[in-house]
Amino acid sequence: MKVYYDRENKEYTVKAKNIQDMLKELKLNKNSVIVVVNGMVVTEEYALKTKDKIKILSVVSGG
Amino acid sequence: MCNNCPKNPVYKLHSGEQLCQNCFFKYFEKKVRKTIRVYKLVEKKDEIAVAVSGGKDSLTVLDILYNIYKENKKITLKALMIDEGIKGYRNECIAPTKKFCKERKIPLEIVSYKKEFSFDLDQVVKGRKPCSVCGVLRRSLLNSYAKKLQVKKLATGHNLDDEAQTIIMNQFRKNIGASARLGPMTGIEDHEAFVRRIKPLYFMSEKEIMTYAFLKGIVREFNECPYNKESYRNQVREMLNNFEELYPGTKHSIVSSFMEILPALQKQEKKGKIKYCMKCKEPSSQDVCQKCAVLEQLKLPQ
Repeated sequence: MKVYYDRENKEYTVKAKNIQDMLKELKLNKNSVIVVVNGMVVTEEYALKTKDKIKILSVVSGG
Repeated sequence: MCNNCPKNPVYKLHSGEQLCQNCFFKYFEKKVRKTIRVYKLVEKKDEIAVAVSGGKDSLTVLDILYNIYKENKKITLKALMIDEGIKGYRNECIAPTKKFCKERKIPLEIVSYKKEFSFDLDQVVKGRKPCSVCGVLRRSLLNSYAKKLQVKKLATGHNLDDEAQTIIMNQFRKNIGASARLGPMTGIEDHEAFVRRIKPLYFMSEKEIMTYAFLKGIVREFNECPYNKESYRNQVREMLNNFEELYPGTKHSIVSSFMEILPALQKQEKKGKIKYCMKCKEPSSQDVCQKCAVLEQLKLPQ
């Protein structure tokens, strides 16, 4: 499954079946990102589906 | 499922409670209103400038204050933006911020380093710590322009993460005196030299703010200062996020326990007479203020 991460402007392929495992697979801290699936923010329990469009947005902004 | 209604959750609080979009909006706005009320951040006839960077925090503060006070003719809002001259970052924030303010009919003042100091930040940071230079100059401009705008308060987008990081950084650097100047409202009331700072998002986490800003359509595009990754603060941020993951509620605990000792810290802090910088006449704890000292180091005209 393909995942876009905005902070790195990069697309990753993941095997995880839910958001919690996906963040672990990508070594991302759940407190530093929000995950948007098909345009909607989801929690870490969300079970991923094959056609889901997944975006990870960094919560870090400014400086 | 949301804990309050049969809808999909968008946010899980550190208590484990899950909230759908509507319940999350209610939770968020109620908590910000409570902070404003409990700490008397906004009072009758206040004139407020909101320091905006174009990021999620400052635009969320501006949006929330606008929505709370748009029908209240006795409270006026202005926006104040500092253009430090950071290529690929600040210049990309200006147009969306102008649009945001125009849509809400909020006057926006943009002040640039180029005009004030005759340089862009990018030109002077080589071999230096960019955040140290930028922070001093930006704070100085925010205070002086807030006074020029004749506002009573300056609202900033500082959040729970920022505050927890600053508390820890001050501890690590043995700079506890600086922590006495933290809290939801800082500064001295009715003092000609200072404009009081208020932080309506004081108890909101960065993740909560990003969720709110995204769902409200306040921000869509990612923007991060290119110098951010180099900063000491960024290392503390990562450390606290790792702790938060292992022990949910850590950041809330740091800030709420700090709030208990803040009155004692403020009492202990020497209340010396405020001096004025011999060069620029702005308030300073030393004979020469930090801004003039930084400009001197940069060997640039003031």
